[in-house]
Amino acid sequence: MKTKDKIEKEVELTLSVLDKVKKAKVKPFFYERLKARIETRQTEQIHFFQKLFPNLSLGILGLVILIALNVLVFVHVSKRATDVEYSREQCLETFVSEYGLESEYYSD
Amino acid sequence: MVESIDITALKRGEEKAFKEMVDYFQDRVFNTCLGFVKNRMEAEDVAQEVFMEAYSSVNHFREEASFSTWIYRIAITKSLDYIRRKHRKKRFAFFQQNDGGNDIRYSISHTETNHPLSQLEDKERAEVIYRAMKKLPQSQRVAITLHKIEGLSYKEISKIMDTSISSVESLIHRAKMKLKKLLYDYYKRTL
Repeated sequence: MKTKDKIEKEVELTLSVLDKVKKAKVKPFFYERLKARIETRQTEQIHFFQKLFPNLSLGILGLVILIALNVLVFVHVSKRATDVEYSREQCLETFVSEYGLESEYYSD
Repeated sequence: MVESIDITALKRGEEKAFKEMVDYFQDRVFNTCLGFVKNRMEAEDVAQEVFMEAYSSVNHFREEASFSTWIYRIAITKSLDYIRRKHRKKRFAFFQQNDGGNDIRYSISHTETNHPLSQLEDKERAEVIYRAMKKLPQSQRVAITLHKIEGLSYKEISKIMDTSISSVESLIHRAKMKLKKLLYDYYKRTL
């Protein structure tokens, strides 16, 4: 019983510590340290983007050249495809006339 | 909570307004963080994170609550995040294998240097109560820290925690009961 009272007294004394807490203050120059940290973070972010895109204008120029080359290749390939089709028809006609294969069965 | 923060200037990114805001809240934020983390160095680290977050997301502040409520919410979130991060790291640490789990007596030997609680005359008691507070459920710990360490009223806490005043009363009551039990068990073993 005596021990129980002693324990309860200790508990109360320990709980009362919470009512005696004094407000703490930040160390001097808190704002200066904070500002330095913000600036460091901003610089790090800029460096990250610079690493990702070392020269943005060069990147854009490269992209434009790539698109222009693609357009050129597409135009060239489609023109060549039309030419090939035309020459195939010509060849067939020449072949038919050379070997005298023109008959009523083949005409319309 | 009377405050004279120029929100418009803050949103415009004016440094003067930001400095005024930091000067006004630095001790409050620092004290709130100290209620959750181990020492002054860690608390300052978290407090800086709080202001950095406020600096980068002030444009999202919709002025539905007061600015101080918003800042306190950031301070609590950042402090709890910090504790979680630290716990995660500790979980993998070798020395943690022999930590006493939920038993507060095993933790008391780790002196809480520079904590406002440990600046009191009775350092041992302060350490015991600090360790016991760490064992409280999160919402109870937040409520009792804001009330006892930061000295906020139930009404102010209810705004910060986005709950009713009666819920805050209940949280603090349950926190005190739990603390009593933890302390009773502790002294039963040690006395």
